[in-house]
Amino acid sequence: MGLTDILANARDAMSAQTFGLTVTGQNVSNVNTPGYVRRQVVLETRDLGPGNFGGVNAAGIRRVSDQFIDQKHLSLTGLSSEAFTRDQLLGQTEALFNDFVGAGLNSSMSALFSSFSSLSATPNDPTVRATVLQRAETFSNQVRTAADQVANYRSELFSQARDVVGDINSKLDGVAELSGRINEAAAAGQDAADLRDKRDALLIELTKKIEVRTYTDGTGQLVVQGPGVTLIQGDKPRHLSLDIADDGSLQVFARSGGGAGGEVTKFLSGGELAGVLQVRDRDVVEMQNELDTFAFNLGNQINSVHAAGFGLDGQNGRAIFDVGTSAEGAAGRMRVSADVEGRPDLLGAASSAASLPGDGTQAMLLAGVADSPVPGLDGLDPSEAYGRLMGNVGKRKQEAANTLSMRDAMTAQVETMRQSVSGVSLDEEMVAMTQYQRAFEAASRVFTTADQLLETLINTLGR
Amino acid sequence: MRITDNMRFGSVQRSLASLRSRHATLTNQLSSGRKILAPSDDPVAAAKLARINARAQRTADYQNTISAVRADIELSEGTLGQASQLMVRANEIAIAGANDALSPSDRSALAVEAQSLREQLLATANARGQRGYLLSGSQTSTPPFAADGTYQGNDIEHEVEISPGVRTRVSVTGAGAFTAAGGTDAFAALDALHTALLSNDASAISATLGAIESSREQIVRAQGQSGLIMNRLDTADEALSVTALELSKQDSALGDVDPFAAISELTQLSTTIEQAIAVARQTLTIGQDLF
Repeated sequence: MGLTDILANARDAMSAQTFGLTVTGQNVSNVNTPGYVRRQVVLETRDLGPGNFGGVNAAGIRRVSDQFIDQKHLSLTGLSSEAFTRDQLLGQTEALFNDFVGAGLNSSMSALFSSFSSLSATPNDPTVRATVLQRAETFSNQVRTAADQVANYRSELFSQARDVVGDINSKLDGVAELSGRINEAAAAGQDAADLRDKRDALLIELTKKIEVRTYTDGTGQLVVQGPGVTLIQGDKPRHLSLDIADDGSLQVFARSGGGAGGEVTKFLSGGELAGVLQVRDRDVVEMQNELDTFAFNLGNQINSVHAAGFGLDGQNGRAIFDVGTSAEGAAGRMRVSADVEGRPDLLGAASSAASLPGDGTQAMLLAGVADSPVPGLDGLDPSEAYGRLMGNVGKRKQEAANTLSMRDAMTAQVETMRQSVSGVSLDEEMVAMTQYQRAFEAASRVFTTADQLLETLINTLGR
Repeated sequence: MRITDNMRFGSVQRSLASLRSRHATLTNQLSSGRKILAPSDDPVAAAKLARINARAQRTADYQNTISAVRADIELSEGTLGQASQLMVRANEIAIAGANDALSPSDRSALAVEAQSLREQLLATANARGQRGYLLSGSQTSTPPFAADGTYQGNDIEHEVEISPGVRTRVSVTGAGAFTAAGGTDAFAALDALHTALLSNDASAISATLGAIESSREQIVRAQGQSGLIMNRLDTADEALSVTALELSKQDSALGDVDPFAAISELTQLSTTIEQAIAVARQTLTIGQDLF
C-alpha cells in the first residue's frame, strides 16, 4: 500500500460520484418522460487485494420497478382502454336515438298518430289525407335512416377493428424487435435500461389495444401473453388476423407460422379491440334487433287496422307500410307501401264502403293504435316500446360510462403506486446530487492531500 | 409512501379534471334547463319522458279533433235554429191562411211565401261545413235533400274519439230532423200547406197545422242534440286541458333541472375548483427552490 494507491482510490471515488451525478442528471431530465423508470447507481466496494485497497466501484445502474405493480398496471390499462372505447362508441350510437335534441323517432311517430286523429275529424279533406301520407313517409324514413346509420356504423367498426389489429401487429413487431436488441445488449454486457424503458412504454401502448401480461421465462426471455395465446416469445411475435363469421360477427385469430392459428375472440377482455368487438357484435346487434322488432310489429299493427278501412274508391285491404315478411332487417326496409304511395285518396279512413266519404271511424281506430298494446312488443304501446328501446340504448351507454369511471379509478390508483416506486422524485434527486457533490469534494480533498504528501516526499525529503 | 413529482401532478390533474367535468355537466343542464340531455343521463326517466311526451301529444290531438269537429256541429246547430224559425213562420202562414175572412188573392200571396219557405228550408238543410254537407250522415259529398225533399244521405253519424277511450257522435242527420224517419216530413208539410193555400181551402190549410208544428218540434229536438254534443265537447276539452297541465308537470318534475339546487351546487363547485387550484399551486411550488 502506498500513496499512489490513495490517489487511485480518490480517482475511483471521483469517477463513481461523477457517475452518480450523471445518473441523477438523467433522472432529473426525465422527470416528465412517459414510461421512464428511475435509475439507481449500484455502488460497491472493490475487494481488498494486491494493489487494491477498498476503493469504490460503480457497478452499473438499476431500474427501480416492481414486477407485481407493473403487471397490474398493464392489465388495468387494457381494461380501462376497453371501457373507454366502448363508452366513446356507444356515445355515438346513443346520438342516433337521442330524442332530447332535435326531432327524433318518438316525435315523428307522435306526428303520425296526430295525423290519423286529424283524419278522423275531417276524413274527406284532401290536405289532411296528404298530411297523413307525408307523416307516414317521414316516420318510415326516420326508422330506415336510424337502421341504416346503425348498419353503417357496424361496418365502420369493422374498419376500426381492422386498423386496431394492424396497429397491434406493428406494436407486437416493435416489442419483439426491442426484446431482440435487449438480448444483444445483455450479451455484450450492456445494461440496456433505455431499451427496457422503450419496451415498457410500447407494452403499455400495446395493452391499450389488446390486454397483455408479461413474464420472464427461465432463459431470461420476455414472454408477452395475450388473451388465450402467447403473442411474443423472446423476439418472435405472432400476428393477429381478422375474419368474419357466417353470422357476420368478427373473429380474431392468432396466426402461428404459416398456419391459420387459433381463434381467440372469446378470450378478449381488455383493450380497444375487445371494446370495438363488444360494441360491434353485441351492443349494436342488440340495438338493431330491437329496432327491427319495433318497426316490424308497429308497422304490421298499423297495417292490420288500416286494412279494415275503406279508401275513397270503396276498396279495403291496403297496407300503409311495407315492412317485409320477417322482423329481421325490417327497420332498414320500412317504407310507405305501394298500396297507398302517392294516393292519399286510398287511405282507409272509413269503416265500410257504405259510409264513404264522411266516415272517419277507421282513422280513429288507427289513432288509437298509439294507446294500445302492440302485438309482438310484450304488451307495450308504441311510445312505451320506443321508450324501452331508447332506455336500453341509454342503459348501455350509462353502464359503459360507469365501468369506465370505475376502471379509470383503479388504473389511476395503480398508476400512482407505479409512480411511487418508479417515478422520479426531484427532492430525492436534489439530496442525491448534494451527496455526490460532497463526496466528490471529499474525494478530491483526499486526492489533494495525497498529492501534497507526495510533493513533501519528492521535494523536501528527496533534496 | 414515496411521493414522486408525477404523482403530485397526476393527482392534481385528475381531481381538477373530474371537477371540471361535473362543472361542464351542470352548466349544460342549467343553460338548457333540462336534467336529461341524453338517454344515458337517466335511462329509466328517459323512457318515462318518451311516454309522457307521446301522451301529451295524444292529448293535444284530442283537443285538435274537438276544435275541428266543433265548427261543424256549431254550424249544424245554427242551421237547425234557422230551420225551426222557418217552420215558425210556416205556422204563422197556416194560421193566417186558415182565417175564413181571407180573400183568395191573399191566400195565393201566402202560397208564394210558403213556396219560398220551402226553398229556404231546402237550402238551409243542405248547408255545408268543413267535412262537407252537414246533415247527410257520412255521405258528405251528396246534398242531404233532393229538390223534391227526398233524403239522399244515410244515418251513419260522424264518430270521433275525444278523450282516451271516449268515442262520441258529433253530427246529426237530416233524416231525423226533416223526414218521416223522425216522425214528420217537413218538406211534405210545407208542400201540403202550399197546395192547400193555392186551392183556397181553409179547412185543408188548418189541417196542415199539426204536421208543421210537429216538424218544428222535431227540428228543435235535433237542434237540442247538437247543443248537447257541443256541451260534451266542451267538457271533454276542459278535462283534456287539465290532463295536459298534469302531463307537463310530470315532464317538468322528471326532466327539468331544479335551478336552485343546480345553481347552489355550481357555486359550491366553483369554490371547490378555486380551492383545488390554490392547493395545486401550493403543491406545485413545493421544491421550486430546491435547485
